[in-house]
Amino acid sequence: MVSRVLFVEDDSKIRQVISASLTDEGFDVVEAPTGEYATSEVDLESLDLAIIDLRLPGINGIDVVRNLRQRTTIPLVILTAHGDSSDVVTGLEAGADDFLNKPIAAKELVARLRAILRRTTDGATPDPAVATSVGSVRIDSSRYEATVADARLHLTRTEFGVLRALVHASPATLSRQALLEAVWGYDYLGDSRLVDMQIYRLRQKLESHGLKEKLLTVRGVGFRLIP
Amino acid sequence: MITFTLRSKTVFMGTAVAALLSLAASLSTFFLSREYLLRQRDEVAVTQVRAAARLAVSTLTRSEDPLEVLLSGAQLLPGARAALYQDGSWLVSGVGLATEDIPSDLIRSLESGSAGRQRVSIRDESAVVVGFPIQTTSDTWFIGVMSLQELERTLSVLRGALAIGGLLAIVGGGSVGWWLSRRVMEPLHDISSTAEQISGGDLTKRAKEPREPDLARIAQTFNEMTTSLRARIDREARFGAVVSHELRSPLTVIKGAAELIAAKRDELPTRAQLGSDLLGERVHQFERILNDLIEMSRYQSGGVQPVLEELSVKSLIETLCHRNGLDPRIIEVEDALVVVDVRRFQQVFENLHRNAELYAGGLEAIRSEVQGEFIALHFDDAGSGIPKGDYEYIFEPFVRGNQHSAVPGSGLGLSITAEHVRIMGGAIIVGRSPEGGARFTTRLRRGESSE
Repeated sequence: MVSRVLFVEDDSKIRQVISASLTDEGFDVVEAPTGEYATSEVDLESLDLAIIDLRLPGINGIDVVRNLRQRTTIPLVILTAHGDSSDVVTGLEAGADDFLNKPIAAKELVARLRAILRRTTDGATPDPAVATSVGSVRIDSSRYEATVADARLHLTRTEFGVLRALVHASPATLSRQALLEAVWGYDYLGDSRLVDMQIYRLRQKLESHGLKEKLLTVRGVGFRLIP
Repeated sequence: MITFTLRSKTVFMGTAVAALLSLAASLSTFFLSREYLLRQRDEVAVTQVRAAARLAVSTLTRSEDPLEVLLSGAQLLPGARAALYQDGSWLVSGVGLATEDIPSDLIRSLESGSAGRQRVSIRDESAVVVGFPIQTTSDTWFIGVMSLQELERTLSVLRGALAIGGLLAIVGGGSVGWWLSRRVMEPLHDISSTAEQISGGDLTKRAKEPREPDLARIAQTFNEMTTSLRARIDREARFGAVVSHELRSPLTVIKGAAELIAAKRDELPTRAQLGSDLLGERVHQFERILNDLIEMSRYQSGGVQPVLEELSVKSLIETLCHRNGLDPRIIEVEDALVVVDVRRFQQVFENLHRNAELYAGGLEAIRSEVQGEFIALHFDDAGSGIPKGDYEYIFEPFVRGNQHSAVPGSGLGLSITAEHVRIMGGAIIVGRSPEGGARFTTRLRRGESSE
């Protein structure tokens, strides 16, 4: 299956060269030169992933992320200036799932996209021995759906991935590193803020379904889901 | 040479000036009053002895007995000390007076027929001796002795008073010097401690402006200088940041283009393959230098916030060694929790690793040592060590071993490493490993959850 990727970037030369590399690697790239184009002209249904440069003229990248997040569950990857912590934090808060530092390298980008797509579209039937529910929380990996007491839980792909990992591991505690590996495909040293932000969102969504203090933080270790 | 502080010099000068002035004043007062008092005393003595001599003369007209003559004169003098010379022989009255006590200069002037007076010391008692030739008879002299003892006592009291005054003046001068120096030095001290803080990197500090206009001027100038310095540093940091950021977009394109070419490397002629390889390698290097510059300018403009978390130092090092293709056998790290910013620690590790590879034949061992609330990680390389003189410069930006100018790099690696470690609440030092190579030690805080 060819993955369709939205690439929002104002610099036409960068767009050109990155699209060329992604196309060579078998991606179908939808180019968007502005935030306005990305939020109004692109058919989100056909997309598997979006890459958004945070520095855009007109509607800025953060607003694009916020807009897309409200309308789609696909992974959103932001491009941030090297080591700029505040960009990463605002991006993640707006709803981004992952970030890459500029200048991006096509090779690294492709590896990153593959890892994310593999983890979020990996519909393989889980081992029957592995739990698919914890308490009233039930997950259906084939349809990326989660329910709380049969009520549908609206999750992004990444949130679903985190929940799935926690459900599979329950009642054991998952470390940040384990979550980074299971959901983002990072090895040991990913950015722990990615996990914290998703846990925060997931916890809010669970709480809105009346599940308070079920997703616990174990200090110095990680997170666990209890029935 | 011993150097004195401005403060002690001021106090010393105050004391010295006061001492000199009071010494001069005391001495002149003492000698002037002494002369004046002595002259008065002399005149009194002359008048008294003259009266005594007259009485003796009048007695001489009535009596032939020299003793009677002497005593009639001597009774007018305190202590009745007098002498009469008549016909070549001396007659002396009064306690403790002998003919030898009469000075020869006086006798000589009497021999020539004129009166005289002289100050002498008779058995440690100062006195004035006055002699008159008795006009009626030749070679007959009347000599009276007047004690100066009382005057000496007055003078010694005066001496004491002046000495005490002098001492007070010296102490006063010293105190004035101390007070003045304090008045002047306090604002200067404030400025110098502010300057220290500023040189420590805190450019927001300003010196207090003292009330004295002259000193306030110094503080103002100093503060203006700091402000303009800060503006300048900010401008430079901004310039660096802007330039680095602006370089990023073209670099992204160049990098992408290089990768597009490299992806078709097999279809290229040999020459073009060589070009593609060189391009890829140099672009990578350029990117690393650019990232270093951006990182450094970020530290210089301040406000860097680390993302701290507690991790097992052992698995951290193991993972990083694995990632960087290092032999896991070099790891001699115990299991403890460490507080790190993962991205920054990774850069610290990679910088130390790359430095060791470039300059010293690679890392030989990574050792750990728990030091109270900290855990020290020693990165020991296989080289021959770093000269001690370079220890303090090595973490400065753009400092590179001069024999290594052929090795590519920005010269920022170690200073960024030091900044990274610092922002994580730790410190980095360089020393010598037990095997004789260089040892870079990062001291990082231990996790609280560790038992």
